[in-house]
Amino acid sequence: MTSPAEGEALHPQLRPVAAAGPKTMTDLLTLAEPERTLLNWLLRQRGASLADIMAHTQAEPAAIQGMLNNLTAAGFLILHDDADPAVFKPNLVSRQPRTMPEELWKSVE
Amino acid sequence: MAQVISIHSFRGGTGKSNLTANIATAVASQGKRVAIVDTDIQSPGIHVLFGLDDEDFTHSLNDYLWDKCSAKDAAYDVTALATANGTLADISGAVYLMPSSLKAGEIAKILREGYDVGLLNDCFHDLINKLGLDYLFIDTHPGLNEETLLSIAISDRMVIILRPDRQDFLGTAVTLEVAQKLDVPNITLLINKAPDIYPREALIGKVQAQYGVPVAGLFYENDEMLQLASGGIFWLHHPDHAFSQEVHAVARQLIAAE
Repeated sequence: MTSPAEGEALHPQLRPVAAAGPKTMTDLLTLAEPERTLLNWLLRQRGASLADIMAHTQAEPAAIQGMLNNLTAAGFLILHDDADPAVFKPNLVSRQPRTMPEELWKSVE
Repeated sequence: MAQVISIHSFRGGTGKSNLTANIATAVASQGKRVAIVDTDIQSPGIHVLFGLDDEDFTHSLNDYLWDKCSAKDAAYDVTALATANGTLADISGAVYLMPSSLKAGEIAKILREGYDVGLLNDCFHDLINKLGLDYLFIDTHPGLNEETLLSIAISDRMVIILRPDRQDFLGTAVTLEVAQKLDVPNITLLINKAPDIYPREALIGKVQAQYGVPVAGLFYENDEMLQLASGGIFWLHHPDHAFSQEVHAVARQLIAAE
């Protein structure tokens, strides 16, 4: 499998698969260092194109593509391909829904 | 380019909001345009220091996160409020405050449902751009929680406030470890509420040696602060007080580190 050159559009087979839902900041802390570092950077940038990510990381395109695929598949990133070029954005929520009883929440809302 | 500074403490009661308000206002007194966002959604309160009542604001950070208003709509110019009530000093810059909602139902709703982290990040950037800010201060909720982690993660600088207290010392070590995992570029410590039995240089030296992080300021407990009781910005009421001099010293360091 070849990886796209910097700035090229993603080949359909290289596109990340559907995400597994948003993650939280706590989930981010559990990532291995390379993924966490990339996601921290993307969080500060509020998203970046593949070309920008490659320019920033200076890593092998195949390694970056693999990391982006993994992060997207795990639900940490979303690929916004309505933008040109497509942009990888963090897919994080402040917290997952609480499991407290419905009635308790209703009593304070 | 604007600097995003998050002010954090591992435990409550460290004087975090008070120091945030004082330092942000001191930075504004140097001609800078400054905003404070109260991301302490669970227990908001920094607006009290600026004399802002909950009846005084129609929009809050909560409304922005629910797409009910723009970021600018929920930010209030509190420059004049800060200098009201007979204070002597003048602020040549500007201070804006984005409060969190004080309505119990709205606090519960956001705790229950959470929000898109990207929205909070967008909020900070919108404020910086629309208000032409030099500095954005984030007043966080104490401890480590999901909202706090985001504020830490997107900061250019993190200021951690601790008291000379064993529990604070332990908590600060944990906070530093998390901040390093989130690649925060600059971290600074402030020691607050120190009893005056501690010699300044010895205490600063001990804390710096323990954490390997610079201490930007040391604030001693004082009666005047207790008497003010969150009734205003301390240095504006007591411009010559040692606490106020330290606030300005920290503000100058933040500006110099740009």
